[in-house]
Amino acid sequence: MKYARFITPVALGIGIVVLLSGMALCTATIRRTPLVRARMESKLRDLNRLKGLEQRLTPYQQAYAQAESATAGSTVPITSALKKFAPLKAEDVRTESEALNDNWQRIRTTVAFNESAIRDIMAFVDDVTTGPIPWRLARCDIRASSQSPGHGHVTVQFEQLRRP
Amino acid sequence: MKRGTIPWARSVYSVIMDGDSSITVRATRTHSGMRFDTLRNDDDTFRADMDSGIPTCSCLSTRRSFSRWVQTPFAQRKKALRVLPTLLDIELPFALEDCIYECSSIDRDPSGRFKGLVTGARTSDITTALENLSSLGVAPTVLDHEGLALWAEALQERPPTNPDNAAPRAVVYLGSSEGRLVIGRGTKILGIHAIRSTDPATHIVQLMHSNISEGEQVSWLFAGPGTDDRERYEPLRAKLIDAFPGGSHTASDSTTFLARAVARRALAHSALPCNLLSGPFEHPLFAQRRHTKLLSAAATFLLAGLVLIAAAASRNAQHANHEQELNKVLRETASQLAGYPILAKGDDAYDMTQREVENQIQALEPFAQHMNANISATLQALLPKMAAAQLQIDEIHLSDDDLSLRGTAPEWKTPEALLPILKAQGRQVELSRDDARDDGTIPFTISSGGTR
Repeated sequence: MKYARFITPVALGIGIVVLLSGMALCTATIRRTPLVRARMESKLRDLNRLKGLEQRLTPYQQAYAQAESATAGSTVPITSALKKFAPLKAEDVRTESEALNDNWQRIRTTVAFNESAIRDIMAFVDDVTTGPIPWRLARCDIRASSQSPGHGHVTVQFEQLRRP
Repeated sequence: MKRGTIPWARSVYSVIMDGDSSITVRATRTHSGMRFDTLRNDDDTFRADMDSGIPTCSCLSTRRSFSRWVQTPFAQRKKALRVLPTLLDIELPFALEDCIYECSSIDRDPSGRFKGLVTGARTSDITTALENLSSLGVAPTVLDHEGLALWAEALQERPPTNPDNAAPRAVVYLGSSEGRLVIGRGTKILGIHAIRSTDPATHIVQLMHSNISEGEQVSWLFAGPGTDDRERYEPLRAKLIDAFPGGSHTASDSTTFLARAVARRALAHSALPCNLLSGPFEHPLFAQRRHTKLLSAAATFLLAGLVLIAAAASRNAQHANHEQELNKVLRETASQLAGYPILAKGDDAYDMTQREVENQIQALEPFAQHMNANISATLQALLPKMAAAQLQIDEIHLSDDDLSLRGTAPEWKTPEALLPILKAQGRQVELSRDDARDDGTIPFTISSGGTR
């Protein structure tokens, strides 16, 4: 064959080229490894930071989910609950509403009592804040009466979250 | 065992011309050394082995070849080797281009300059030798030098007791009709000579005198088919020992001494290797082996290169996969937290996600507050405690954000009973007390921030 004498040198040349290419590729890979490692470590740090954000957000999301299940159904108005504790009588009852995200509303009802039995008021508060759809006690101001022990001026603020 | 001039062979045939006949020996490399089998003249079985690829070797007669110690002026080996052909050309009575030569040994002499032992022959003599062997159906792979082979075998059979010893030794090879003499000291050759057939003893003594001083003890080794001829051998031996006294030894299996020497040097490493079939006389097997070696090397390089490429590619692919996976997890986590796809990367992605999360936290704050803060429980815990401790409460202000409690206590330590309840709710509380009033009661105030 005419070109038979070229087979060996060409084969050797190809072998050497492939070997050198392999060595060059391995060297390049080894050199790149620290950079790749640094990049991966940076990404892992980013992931940890995101996990940190997730940990911060989760309790809020859980509270929202609880609120959704807790407010399912209708609630007892404060004034109706108060009637159960007659002769306990509120001096003033005010209700205000605040719009929140996602069609939610925060309903605040403030009840003021004048010179009333603190024990009865606490029983009323206990009734309102327990039960199937409870109100939350957001604020309580008690000023004891100097004339009648166990009596005082009490203002309580109840709060509820609703989505119509 | 280190390999000889035919490194790939496990067996060789050695064919030595002796007058009109030949001596044939088969040598085989074994675990323990080498085995020699002598073939009878009428035994043609080796021709079949030759056809199946077992190589043959032979040697060129001393009479048809030359050997020279060539002194170079250099103390560096490389320079000495470079200048050796030129110096040899000057010494030879014919053109260097008309011969094949080989430098079997190059050593420093006492002056520090290099001196080479060169053996060779004219191409016409090599051609004649090959034609003679061809008439026997033999095409040798290696053509050794007779003198070097004799010397090497003599050292093999009777090694010097002390390698540093420069005691003279002489190897006398007696063919059927011709003789050879190799003179040396210790392991070093001094000269290789063809012996004339008429009065060989006188010729040998003359040659000995030109190399050995009077009175030195010479170690004689006799070999060759001529030693079987007692009438020729014994008188010669006696004259030589008389002229140069010393130890005398006839080689074992003397007839095949040279054939064994040539075969051994083909299979195993020798101190003075020689193959006069080089250049245009090179046996095709050597070129074939070189070719095969190169192809093997090429295949090895190719395989090694492919393995390295595969390893590097695999590693790179692994890295890329890991990084891709991690990118995917990052993207999904950020998008899940943000509530929409985050396409940015790195710090930008984190910043965007963090903003969204903060917005969500702000929007969900009322829910967290509603579900977690529990003022009524605080109140329910405080009131009985206050009653039990006989604390007189003047004012209580309690909300998610703060607490303020003012009253009087019967004793200094009594208000402290309320602190654990408030601390259990996560409030940072401060208790302050004034001096006792006239009625002995202690005014106190408990205040704190919220539970957040």
